[in-house]
Amino acid sequence: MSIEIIVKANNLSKHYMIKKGIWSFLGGGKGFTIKAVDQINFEIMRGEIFGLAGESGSGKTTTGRMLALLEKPTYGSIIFEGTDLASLKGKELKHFRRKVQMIFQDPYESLDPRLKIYDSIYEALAIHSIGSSKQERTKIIKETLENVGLSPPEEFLNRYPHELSGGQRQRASIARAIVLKPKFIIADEPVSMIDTSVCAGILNLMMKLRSTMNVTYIFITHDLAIARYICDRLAIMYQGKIRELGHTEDVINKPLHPYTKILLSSVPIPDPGFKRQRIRIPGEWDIFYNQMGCKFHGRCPNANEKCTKEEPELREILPEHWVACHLYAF
Amino acid sequence: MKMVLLEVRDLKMYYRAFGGWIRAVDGISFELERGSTLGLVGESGCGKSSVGLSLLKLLPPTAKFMSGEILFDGTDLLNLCPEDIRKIRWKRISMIFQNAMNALDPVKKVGDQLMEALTVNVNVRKDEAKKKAVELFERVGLSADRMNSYPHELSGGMKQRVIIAMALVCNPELIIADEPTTALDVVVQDQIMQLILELKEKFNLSIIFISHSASVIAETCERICVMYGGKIVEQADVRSIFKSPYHPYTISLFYSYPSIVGEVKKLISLPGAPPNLLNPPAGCRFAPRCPIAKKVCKAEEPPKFEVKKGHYSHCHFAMELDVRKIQSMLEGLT
Amino acid sequence: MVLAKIRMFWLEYRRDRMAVFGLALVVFFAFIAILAPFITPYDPWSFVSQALSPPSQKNLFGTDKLGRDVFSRVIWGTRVSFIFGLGAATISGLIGIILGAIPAYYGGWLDDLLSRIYEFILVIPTIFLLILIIAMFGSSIYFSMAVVGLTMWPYLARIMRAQVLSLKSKAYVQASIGLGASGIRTLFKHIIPNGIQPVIANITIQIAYAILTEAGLSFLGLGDTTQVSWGQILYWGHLHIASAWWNTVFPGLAIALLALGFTLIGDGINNTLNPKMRESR
Repeated sequence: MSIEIIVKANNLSKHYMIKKGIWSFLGGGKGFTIKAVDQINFEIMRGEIFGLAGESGSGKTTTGRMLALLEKPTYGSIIFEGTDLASLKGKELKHFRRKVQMIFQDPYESLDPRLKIYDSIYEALAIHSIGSSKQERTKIIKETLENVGLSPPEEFLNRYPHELSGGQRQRASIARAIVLKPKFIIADEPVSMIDTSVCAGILNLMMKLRSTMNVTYIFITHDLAIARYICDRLAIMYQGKIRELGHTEDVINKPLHPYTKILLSSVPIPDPGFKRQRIRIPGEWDIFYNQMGCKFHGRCPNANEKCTKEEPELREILPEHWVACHLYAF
Repeated sequence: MKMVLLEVRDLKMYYRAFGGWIRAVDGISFELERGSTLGLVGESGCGKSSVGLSLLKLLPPTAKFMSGEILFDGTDLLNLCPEDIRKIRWKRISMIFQNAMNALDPVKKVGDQLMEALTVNVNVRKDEAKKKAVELFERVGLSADRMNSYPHELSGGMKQRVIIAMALVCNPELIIADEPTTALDVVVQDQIMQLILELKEKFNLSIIFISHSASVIAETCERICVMYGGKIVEQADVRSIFKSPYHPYTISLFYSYPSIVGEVKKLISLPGAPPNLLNPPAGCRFAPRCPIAKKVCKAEEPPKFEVKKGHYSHCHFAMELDVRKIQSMLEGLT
Repeated sequence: MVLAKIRMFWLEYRRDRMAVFGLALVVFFAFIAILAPFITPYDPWSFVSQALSPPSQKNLFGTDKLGRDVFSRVIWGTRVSFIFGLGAATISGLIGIILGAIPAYYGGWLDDLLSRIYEFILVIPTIFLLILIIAMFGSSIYFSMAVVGLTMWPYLARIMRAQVLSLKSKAYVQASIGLGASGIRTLFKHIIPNGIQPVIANITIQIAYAILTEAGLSFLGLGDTTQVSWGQILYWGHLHIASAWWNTVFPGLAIALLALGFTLIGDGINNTLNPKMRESR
């Protein structure tokens, strides 16, 4: 299989200005910048499921939203199938929207509560003028619902979101995304608000769609167990930067970055006989605390003096296994 | 010697709704020994949270106890008048709620909120309350200067610690923790769970954990009750049940979520939906989704089998269950 | 579904007794307005009895100083009040929704500018502005209706704006943008329909406000003298308030009741849609 890059992020960054106090309210005053996403680089190959994992505030969702063009990068660029997304306008932009879809975290919020499932999916077809007649569109919608496991489709067409369970809603929003036959899907924590027992069905569905429709995914999650199940490659983010990147099995089984090790040691294991080794770290980080050097050094059990001064760069330490940490500097 | 702190016998608690009763808790029984932990696990809507609320009698007006007993240290909570319940609630049984983040008053300092809880419940003077509040803050791993913070100035994990401190105000004997870590990040989740377990050891607390996550229950609880459709389908020591489950639903539950260790297995997702508790199916409630259901399952409610000592299963075929076979049947279904 | 929603709304709404009373009042006046030609004993303009005769069997509410039947005039006045109230509130509603929603959705300088504009309009005393405009351009009832509508919209725009800002980040709105929908489509298909309820509640209250304003203007002699409105009856009657109370009490009562009716409905809708307010009552 030839490897083809479908998405490439170059120094992708999103900074927010935060202003405090009464003067800033009137337009003056000094603000400070929060680097939600700070100069990240990655490539996603066609047909793979690329995982983006991290805690809340790591910048993983912002990255996903930038890839979906729901948010503009402050610096850097995104290349999709060879085109710089910043250059898209009008028709080309609409065409891009058709090829790239997003699946959202909260199944209770991702469908318009006033629209029937049929109408929600119909909207996607109408926007892109797919199907010439209403009958044809109805047929497409039914096939899609069947495809995402909402069958028989007739039973779901005329239902409102609040009449469906969380899992069914998430399937309906996947249906709305895939009805346009996209090439790339950004899945932003698609199972984190769904019951654990239903989540398996959604994950298996996404994997099935990858093979039947040749979709590429970026899968954003905070749950490393789920990332391990579904992702081919995995990037671990912390405070706006990718700290470790590699094949999922390598990252999970042979983690290099101290942060990855801590994350992994915090995941509960469904086996009462298993005693996991916990790595203790001090509390949580503070978003308003701008520090020099590696952003993780305050919580890092292995931090040395260099970590407090220099920001480490992402380097390929082992074959196809990248890490941003001074411990592996030589 | 083992001492039973809480015994629930055939508890039925229904909610009144349009067109009948929602059978949220439909005849469940379990025991909790002093100083031990019990996990209630099941998918949302299985009635696990309703069990927790029933124990504290913190129910909406549409709820009604149909039958059963809740024996707490020998007294039946269902027979107590509201006045006497108040003497037990929070003082001897307290709760850590699911949406703990909203349980704090946003316009009051967290220290003041804690002190208020102390003065109201324990009847101490103000300066004593202050001393006790500092002590509680330290106990849950917060520095005393956090007393002057407002809730929005604290991170999710810190807020959860304040909530735990609130639950500890009266040195309760039993704590009901309803999904205490659901909204938190993995690392913080783990820290909070550790904290709860440490406090349990230190103060000989008994804890009922309510969770949808088998992993969390596996790590924290000594006994586990698996709930489905308002009923307990399997009940056992945690090691015994994870080693060999004796109910098809438990098997599907255990194989529905991935693990970070071991080989990557294909996950099972059960087709169909949980039963409508307004009008539940006759016989075994799991029968419509069960891969091994037979005629008898749809007609008769399964009896309680003691498959091993202290390991109970409510399945007609509990004694002849083949876990491997069911697992592969379930995989075939997905 | 729509029916079921209305049913649910009604089940909740009817628990608020005052709101049901308000609805009853408005329905009652609406019937009067519709049936005016059939229930009035006399033409409101014709002189039927002696001037300023007190209420009697012949003239239920008495007569005014020209001998016209006050009962018939109050009934016909219902129509004018309804038209005035509904018309002004519709104008205010349309402008308020559009000028509230569109700039809020697109943001930027337009949003800032409009926010300043409605702040500016909100600080102008409405009655003063009305007097000025009517003095300059005349007192046609339709004209004053438009002016009242044009002064009320910023209240609605502010509510609409807040709704749009909060709905903009909802996942289904983001999903619509992600599908490639245009801004106008997203706005009119997803945002406005989902955020309009509190605006509707306030439009109802504005109907009451417009009715009161019309009465006030007429009373000051700035009303449309070619119309039989409650304000006009008041205006002609207030000179004889001591000797012929029926000229002021009946139209005054009608104004108060209809305005009360609409206000109670508006409050009722607000309370029904916003459970938090219901609890705090």
